[in-house]
Amino acid sequence: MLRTGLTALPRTRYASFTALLQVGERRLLLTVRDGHGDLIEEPRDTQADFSLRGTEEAWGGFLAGDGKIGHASVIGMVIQGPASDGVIPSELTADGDQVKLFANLPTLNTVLDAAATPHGGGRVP
Amino acid sequence: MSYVEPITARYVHVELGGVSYRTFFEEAGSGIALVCLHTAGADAVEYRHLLNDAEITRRFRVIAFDMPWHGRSLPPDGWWQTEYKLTRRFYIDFIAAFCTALGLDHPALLGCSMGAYVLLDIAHETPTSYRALIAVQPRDYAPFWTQLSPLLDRPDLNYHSFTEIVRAASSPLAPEARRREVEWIYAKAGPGVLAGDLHYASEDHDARPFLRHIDAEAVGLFVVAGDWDFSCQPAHTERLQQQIAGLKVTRIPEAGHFPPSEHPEAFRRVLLPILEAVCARRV
Repeated sequence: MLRTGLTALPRTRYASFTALLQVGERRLLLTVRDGHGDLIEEPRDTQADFSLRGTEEAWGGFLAGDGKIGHASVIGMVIQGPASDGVIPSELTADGDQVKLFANLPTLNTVLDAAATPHGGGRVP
Repeated sequence: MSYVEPITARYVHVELGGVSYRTFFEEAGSGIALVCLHTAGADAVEYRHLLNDAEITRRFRVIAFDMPWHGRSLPPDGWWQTEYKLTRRFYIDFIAAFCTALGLDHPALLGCSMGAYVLLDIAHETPTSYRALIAVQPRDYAPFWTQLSPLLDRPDLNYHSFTEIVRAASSPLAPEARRREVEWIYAKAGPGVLAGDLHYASEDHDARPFLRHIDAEAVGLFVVAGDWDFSCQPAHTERLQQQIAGLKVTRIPEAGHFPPSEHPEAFRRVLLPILEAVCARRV
């Protein structure tokens, strides 16, 4: 679903953060430091600035670019529940440093786009 | 090929509450005045496609203005001494004052998002002042947006990140260039402006108590909504229909929260029959 070993991603030059991604039962630690990103599966240290948790189905649909409502950006999957007054359930839960999460949303989506495909071509949101 | 668009742009000084607001507006066409209200944190450039639509401007004088603090309408002097917060009272009164300043006689209003929320307030408060009210993505009550406000005006957070929410609320079926255009429009807002607008949208706007008093046919109220907007789903517009007598709702399957700018083609397809109905209305 996600490839590791991400380097020199566009528009991430000054971004530095760590994010714990919980995909069903799997845990991945995303680290971005000055334009270099990396994903570690089942990390020993799960300390992160923020975490995003969702089912395998939700993450799978997002990363595959299934074009579902709210799937253009991870933040859509987080806020669609409260923004719709519960008409559409949220598919991701965000915990931790909300400011850090919001500050790095464009970078986070760039990294996930790159990680979602073998050639880094990005998903089609 | 180089060319000049048929849009003209000017400034009008709008007097309200003892303050003069130098207000930017664009217009094109002639006939029935159709005044367009932009979304929260954005500006009149959202209506550039409508202003360039010859089929519409043949019968309508399309006018789009930047609210004070937005686009090319500067805040009034002294803005640095106060926190910008749009209120229901100011919004309703400013729209009326703008129309008066231009000498418009019973114009039709078209607004998107908060520009549609206010049309519900106007439908209740001053329904006879306007020929018709076309509300795009309206909500009777939308308390969520203000939860974002603490994140929108702070030194440790680049406001540009908010464009990810704009993207999430737009449609993957809309042209990519138009979606990116909406993101750009949002990225260039002034500091604290979107948070100030959301004060109106989430805290000062609550149409629930008076929806039943609105007669959609009498005031010429029409609702348009894009399906890809999680904040304005069919359940939300159905609730409006249940409360407002005679309300017509047109859903756009290909659009999200910003139909006029995000998917101009899909928007005009549903707007044209509504404008026909507006033409047929007697003031």
